[in-house]
Amino acid sequence: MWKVPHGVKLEQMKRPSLEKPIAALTGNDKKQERGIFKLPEKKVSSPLILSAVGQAGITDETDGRRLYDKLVLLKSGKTDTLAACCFDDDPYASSSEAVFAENRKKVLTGLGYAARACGAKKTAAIVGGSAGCGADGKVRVIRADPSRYPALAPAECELKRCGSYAVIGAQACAAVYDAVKNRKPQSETVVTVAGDGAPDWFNCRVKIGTPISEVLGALRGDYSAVVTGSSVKGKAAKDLSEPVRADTRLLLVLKKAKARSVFPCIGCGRCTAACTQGIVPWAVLKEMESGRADILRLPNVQRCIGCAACNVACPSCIDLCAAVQKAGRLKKSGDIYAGA
Amino acid sequence: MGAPYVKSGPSASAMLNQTLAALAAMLIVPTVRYGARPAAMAVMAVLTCAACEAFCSLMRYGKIRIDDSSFAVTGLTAVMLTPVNAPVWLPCAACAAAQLAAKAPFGRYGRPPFNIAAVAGAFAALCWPSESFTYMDPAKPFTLPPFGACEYTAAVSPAAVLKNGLKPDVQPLDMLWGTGVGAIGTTAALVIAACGLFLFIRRAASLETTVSFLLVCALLAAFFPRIACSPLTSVKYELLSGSLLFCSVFMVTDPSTSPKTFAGRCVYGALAGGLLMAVRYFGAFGQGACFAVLLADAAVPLIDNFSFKTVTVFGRRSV
Repeated sequence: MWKVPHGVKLEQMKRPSLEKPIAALTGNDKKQERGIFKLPEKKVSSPLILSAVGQAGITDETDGRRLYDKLVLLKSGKTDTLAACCFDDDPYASSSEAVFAENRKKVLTGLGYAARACGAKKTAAIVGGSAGCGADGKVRVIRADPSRYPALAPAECELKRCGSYAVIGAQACAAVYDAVKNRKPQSETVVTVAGDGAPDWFNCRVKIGTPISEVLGALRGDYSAVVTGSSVKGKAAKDLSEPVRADTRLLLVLKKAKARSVFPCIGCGRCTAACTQGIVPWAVLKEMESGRADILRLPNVQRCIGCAACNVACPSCIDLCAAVQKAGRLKKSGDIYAGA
Repeated sequence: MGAPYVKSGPSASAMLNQTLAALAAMLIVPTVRYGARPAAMAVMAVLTCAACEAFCSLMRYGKIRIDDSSFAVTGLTAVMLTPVNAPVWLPCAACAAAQLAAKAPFGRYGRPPFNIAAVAGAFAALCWPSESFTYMDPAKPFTLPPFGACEYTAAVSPAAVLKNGLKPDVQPLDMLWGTGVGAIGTTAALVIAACGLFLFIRRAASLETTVSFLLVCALLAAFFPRIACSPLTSVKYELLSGSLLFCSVFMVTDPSTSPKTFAGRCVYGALAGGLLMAVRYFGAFGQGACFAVLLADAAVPLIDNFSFKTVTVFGRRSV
């Protein structure tokens, strides 16, 4: 059957940062980190792994949530597959790929620990394109197509076919390994520095909480804005003393923040082609702007994954994702008169 | 400036600018052939549109605010549909009427439901039919000053000849290179095709609308020829005469007035093609591109509604 590709085509800009090894910007801080409790040498049980994850204070970089909370929730929900996201959806970010490429065994072993902690029987690794995985037969490899954003949505759909699943980040997996094997709490994260305002693009390992200005301190470029998180959904840092968090992943340094005019919807339909969830963003926007939104005319809005591919595709620079998510909340509320 | 910081494809401004560039390229051949008059008409029409845009924004916002180049696209498109020997005030008056009546009440580019250039063309055709459809014979001597009155020999356009049930006495090469009788920008089929290719590649225009439009026109010309000839000859003359080709590339492909789905655009293109041929066969004027586009634009909300329901009923999810 002819399958129409969805998502938006975005030029991948990861190569310059992936060509170099991860730089360390942890400095010469000799202060010893307080280790977590020592785990037994034999096979570690699920409650002990959970306890280690909790003590290590690990944050999952894919959604910014505490990994301990996530694993507890997954354990109660009986998850079939736990997958490690070793691929960055963002066209500029390559931190997850760099961490995975640096030490695949560490990430996959950490994934195994996390799976044991939440009771997942199977594990999988989502990798980008034709990247090698080096996984043994126990870890299923799922390849995401990096040319289309969001690349993770089709990969997650493949996971869904095998039952319930959950995805955690590669850096979180590596942190789980460190917590279990080396008693280390999560104190560092890897961020990609990229953008036209940065003469060199690289991945660097920094202490969580380091101000952005310190990370960029070595940069000699001329820049006017720094975007954190993602080039698609990220936020411009208002103050460069903002700390780097575990889920920062990308510092996009821009020479000039382009001002874009917002037009009314010109009806090109590109947002519909971009959406992987079957939502028709232009129709949702029209319904929400009408002042009397009828939730029956808001199909599939509850499926929105917040990838903002519609925003990327929209030539009028309309925040379609916000309109769709607002419609999703309206629909979930079940208040059919809310739009009246 | 907020997220996203990457975009796929051109913005609305870029699409308009690309269309403007294509229209400006269309002006080269007539300017080389006929002198400064086509360029002068284009400048005056664009300035008229700009003045109307400024006036409307002053009324609406209290300050002059021109955010995009849609006014220039309207001006150039209206000039392309005008004979080179027409008075300079003709496209200016048509553009002013279209801007004030069809655009101003609705707002910025993207809001008006009708193609503004088509409104301008229809207004000129209804109010000044003789000026709009009197063409000069380029093979005979002519004097075309940039702003003054013209001296030329009148000729009947291929579209008018077809209307009378006769075979146009014109070489196919003339129809391809723009040396035939017709409006400023509608005679050079090869140039129109090249500009169309540029717009399709840059994604400033949708290919499916043009293809469905041309397909329906060709089928109707083949099965219901107006002249006694082979179907292929009928298709050749119908497609290359009048403003059909120009309309297929620059007017029906306007993303702001055409439907929002692929299927909807195919239906819209087919409808516009059918209406154009109907106006040609049964209408008062030999050319009906503007009227066909306006009638098809009126059906766009219905087409959108139907295609939207189809999408939601049958579902569409790639993952």
